[in-house]
Amino acid sequence: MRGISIVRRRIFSRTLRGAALLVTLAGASRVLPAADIAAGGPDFAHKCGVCHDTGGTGTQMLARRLGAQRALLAERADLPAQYVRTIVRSGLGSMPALTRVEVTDAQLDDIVAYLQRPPPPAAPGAMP
Amino acid sequence: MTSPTSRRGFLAASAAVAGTMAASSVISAAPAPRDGPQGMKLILPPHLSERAFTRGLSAFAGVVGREWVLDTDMDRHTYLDAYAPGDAEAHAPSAAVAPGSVGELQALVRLANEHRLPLWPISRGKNLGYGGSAPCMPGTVIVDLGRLNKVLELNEELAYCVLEPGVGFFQLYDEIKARNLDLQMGIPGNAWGSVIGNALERGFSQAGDHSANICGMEVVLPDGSLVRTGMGAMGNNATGPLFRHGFGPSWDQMFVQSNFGIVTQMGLWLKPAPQSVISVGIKLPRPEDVGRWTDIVTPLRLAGVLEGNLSVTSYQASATLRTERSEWYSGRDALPDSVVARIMSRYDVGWWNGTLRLSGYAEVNEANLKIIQKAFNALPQAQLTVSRWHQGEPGSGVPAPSVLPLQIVNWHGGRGGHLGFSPILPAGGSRVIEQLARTRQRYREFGIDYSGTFYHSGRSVSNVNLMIYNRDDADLTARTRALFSALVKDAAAAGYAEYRTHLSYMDEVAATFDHNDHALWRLHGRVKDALDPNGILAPGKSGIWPQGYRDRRQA
Repeated sequence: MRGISIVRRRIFSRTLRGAALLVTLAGASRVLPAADIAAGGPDFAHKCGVCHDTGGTGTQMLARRLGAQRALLAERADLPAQYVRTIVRSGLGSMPALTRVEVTDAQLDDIVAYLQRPPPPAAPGAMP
Repeated sequence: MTSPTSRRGFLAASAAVAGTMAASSVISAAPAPRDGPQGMKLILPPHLSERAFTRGLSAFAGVVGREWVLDTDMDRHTYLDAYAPGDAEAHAPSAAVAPGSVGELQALVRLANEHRLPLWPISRGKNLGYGGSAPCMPGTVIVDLGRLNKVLELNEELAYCVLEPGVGFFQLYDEIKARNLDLQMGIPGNAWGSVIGNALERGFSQAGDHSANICGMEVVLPDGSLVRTGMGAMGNNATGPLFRHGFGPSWDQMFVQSNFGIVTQMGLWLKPAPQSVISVGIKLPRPEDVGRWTDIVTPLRLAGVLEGNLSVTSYQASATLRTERSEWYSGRDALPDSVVARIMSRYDVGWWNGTLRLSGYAEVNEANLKIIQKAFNALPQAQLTVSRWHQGEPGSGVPAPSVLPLQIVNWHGGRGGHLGFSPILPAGGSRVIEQLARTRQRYREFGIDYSGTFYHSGRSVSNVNLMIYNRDDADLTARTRALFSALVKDAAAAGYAEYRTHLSYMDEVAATFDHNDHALWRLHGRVKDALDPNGILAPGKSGIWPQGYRDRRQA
């Protein structure tokens, strides 16, 4: 967590549980180790949170384009892995592409795993 | 490392994404990535065969490892100018290489000389609006210094830091907070980039000219040798980041906006965090009020009542930050006055909107506030709003980094971009009004929405004229480029020039410095050829071309 803004830490505050996660990747399935997800939270906050944190410039622009419900990338559950990879390396709209020095391939793997993490389990007794 | 023309499956991956998008109704709501690397070709450095180029990159890989030689189509694409006002491939890199130490960088520079591979150093590559991470000359290899990202010193007692080029504003800010230090730094509107890179480009903020805070550097020269400037040139001297000049000639500014060396360390002065802050918001209702504004703040700034850069920005910023143009107007001409009035009304802003910031001791701030309020009695139409913050209250008196201003590039929708034309004027009201009238007329002529800011620093004013475009609107982009060139000529005719410019205009702006048959740029060329006889370092930077590439000059 060192070096990550206190503000940006909110992004990955959701609980990360489970030893492994089954992820659908462009029609195929693979198993991602939980360590990837755990690393991906700080990486997402550090590399992407500059724009995609709450109130960030990317979040505000997405809110105008897609609505507030879909503006926070860390809360989205509809971003296929390959789509994320391509946008990061290609850029999209006003978002510049990110180099492999800024976000290494390994970090991008972790970020993708983080974005595809399962939702936190419902609290005991919570209404469905 | 792969062959320079290989694609590492990236195009296939892009196609797979396209398929995914077509199959997913959820994802199809998002626009498809239109600016992918499809069709991007390798552009070699001038005078170099692909074989020689590949041999050079292989030598680079021997220094940094294959992982850090980035030469796929995808890699080249990621280093293009994301906001290019036209064809991004006009400044396309051939590859990138990322050293992990100063020693590796020195070895790379020596190999670049041996293999005649031109290099373009970037700190973090976020110089958006000025070329981003792209080189001036197509085919140049990017030297990405992003891996050199250590905060080497952070001293609260004497308010300075020593940084490597990969350190960004967010990183330095977080480090100051993590160590609970009472320090503040100047932060530009786009704080995504490098602290050193911004200072080397003469970036500025309300805190003032960031290059004025430079105190001591470590530099790799074009032959690969290493030098420290100022007092740091003495091996055991700790005053390098404390005293600017050292003994004998002072070289720091020689490496600012130049291509005479690669800066690997820099001392930068910070400021103590304030005990108290008073912000004075000022609304001015008419365009011509900026003249009186200038004449009022000039003596206050010279006397030290106000410090740093005093900014006043046109109404347009309120709309470009929050909305798209289509919400206001569909014409291809510049926004008419009726729309300007609607913007001012909706956001309750003046034609000009300024903020004066008093930061420091509460007693001094309160005394200076009275002087400011009295001075603005001479401009009764100005509306002043005063807000205060004191240490211990919620919030902070220290500016935090942000990239929120980047939203402006969405004004026309699509793939946005921006340019800024920023001539330096004397700090006099009549000269400012003349420049404003001339500039607005040009904006109307080319059908571009006027958006301007005057940054006042005492004796001079930097007039940033913003041009926003959709990169996929060829007509708009062409009109923007034509406007830019017209503004360069107009300013030169009036005796003004820019302090900084985009890659595509470096020659054009440099050519306006014409005293004694362009004697200064001829001097730059002589220094360049003496230090860099093979011309491997940043050919074309600031209009400085080494002898081997001088035929590439555009103006």
